[in-house]
Amino acid sequence: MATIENNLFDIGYMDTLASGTTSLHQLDPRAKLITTLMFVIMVVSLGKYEISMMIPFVVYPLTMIVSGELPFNYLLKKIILVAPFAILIGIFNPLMDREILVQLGSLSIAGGWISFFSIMIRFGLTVSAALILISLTGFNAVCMALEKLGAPRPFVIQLLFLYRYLFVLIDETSRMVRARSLRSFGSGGIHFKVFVPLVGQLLLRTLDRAQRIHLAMCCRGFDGHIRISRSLKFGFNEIRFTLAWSLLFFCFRSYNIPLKIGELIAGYF
Amino acid sequence: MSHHIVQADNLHYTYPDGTAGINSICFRITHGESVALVGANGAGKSTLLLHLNGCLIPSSGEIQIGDYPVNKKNLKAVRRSVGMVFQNPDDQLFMPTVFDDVAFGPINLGMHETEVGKRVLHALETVGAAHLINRPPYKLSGGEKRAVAIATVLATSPDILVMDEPTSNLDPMSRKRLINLLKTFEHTKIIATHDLDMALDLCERTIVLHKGKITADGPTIDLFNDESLLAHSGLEKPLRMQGCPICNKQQESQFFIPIKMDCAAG
Repeated sequence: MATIENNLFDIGYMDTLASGTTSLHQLDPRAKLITTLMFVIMVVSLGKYEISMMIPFVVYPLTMIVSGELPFNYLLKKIILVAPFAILIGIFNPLMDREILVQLGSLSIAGGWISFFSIMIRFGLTVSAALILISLTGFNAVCMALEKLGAPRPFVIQLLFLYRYLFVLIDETSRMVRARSLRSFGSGGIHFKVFVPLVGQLLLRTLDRAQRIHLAMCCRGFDGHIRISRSLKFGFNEIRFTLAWSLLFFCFRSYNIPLKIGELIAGYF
Repeated sequence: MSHHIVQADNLHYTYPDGTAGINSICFRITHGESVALVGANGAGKSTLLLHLNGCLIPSSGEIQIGDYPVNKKNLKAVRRSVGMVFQNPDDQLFMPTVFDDVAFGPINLGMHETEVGKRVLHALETVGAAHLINRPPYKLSGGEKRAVAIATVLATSPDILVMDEPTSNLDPMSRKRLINLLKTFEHTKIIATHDLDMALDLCERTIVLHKGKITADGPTIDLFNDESLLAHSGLEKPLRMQGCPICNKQQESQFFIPIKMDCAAG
């Protein structure tokens, strides 16, 4: 079960990163959340063939990684881990859309390929932005920010609980799977006959635990509302950070900067 | 100080699936007493504990905490005076950080933010865990989790502390530290445990449960000397009262506890 547990520690590692001390870490989580949302909206709203306009957006994740002192390789690995989902979404584009859009000498590139790459770039940009947000802020602080920005409370609480008990659940699963594999003497993967009771058992244990947690909550005066006291400060630094980046994203979105630079250089010669 | 009294009067409880829980339980625990609740697995210890703050409501009989009988109407008052530490700290620590978790109770009691902060810090300092305040609970060690779990309860300043197996899964040093910590508390304590050595350290009185019934209730040292009672209840003398293994071999025919205890101490 090495892989499940390793992934568990990997997720925990993001929290370790979030306890950094750079100026980006110190910013109010709301500033980072809003900026990330702006970034994602701007990137996603670009047209499906507009690869060139996406290039300048790379500035944001790179700046964050460098000034937030985040490990580039770690983030890259996480992005590659989820890449198959994006590939699955885009892989049929080259088959469906065969209209030639770009002619580079004898090489002709179909619109399908361009939209495929645009999906992949968009995926890379948005996922890296989300990972950077969590690595700079911590999952819990992101949830607090969501709550302060007016996201529905039950939703935020669900997220917090999900994150809290994800580790316990993974722990429980890995123990069960290990117990099985120790007594299956190398008979390979989990058979369906074993898998079903295993999952059922896990569900029952989860329900049991949920019940115990609820009891523990009731014992300390839980009345259906979870109140979290946390004071956040949205000051000058936060306003400057959010406005500057949002403005930059807006420029990237409105003007095709690589094209303009290309024209400028071409005009110069 | 009548609000520190716990009194059970002919308690019966059967689980909805028909499993017998507890049967004809009667006792009275007065202010400041420290009582161990011992018995084999399935004797009904945890079931009884759950009655003490209204997590379970008895099928018949009555349990009274201070001036309040435990029922749906008095639940809030009862839970305010009875603090419960669960066996598994992962069940107890459900909030994202240690601070939030310890603050959960005081906030629910409607305290002001500054007061909550003070209480949290005080509770964590009491259990020696103030440095963990901003950590997420899943990153703590077993001993740290237990300490924080106790702090979550102390923060609501209960009159009565109820604990389910507080020393389980702890390494010997953490266990020792916990026992010393519990010794300093002046609350009324009710501790369900299999760790009879701890019971010997902390509780002057013991209640023995067997198959849902009380089979003995008296001074800890007397009950733990009664071998037939212990054997009948699926228990064994605390290790310290069993003497040292080397001397035991030499004196197998004799059975005199004080000497053996000296031997163990030496």
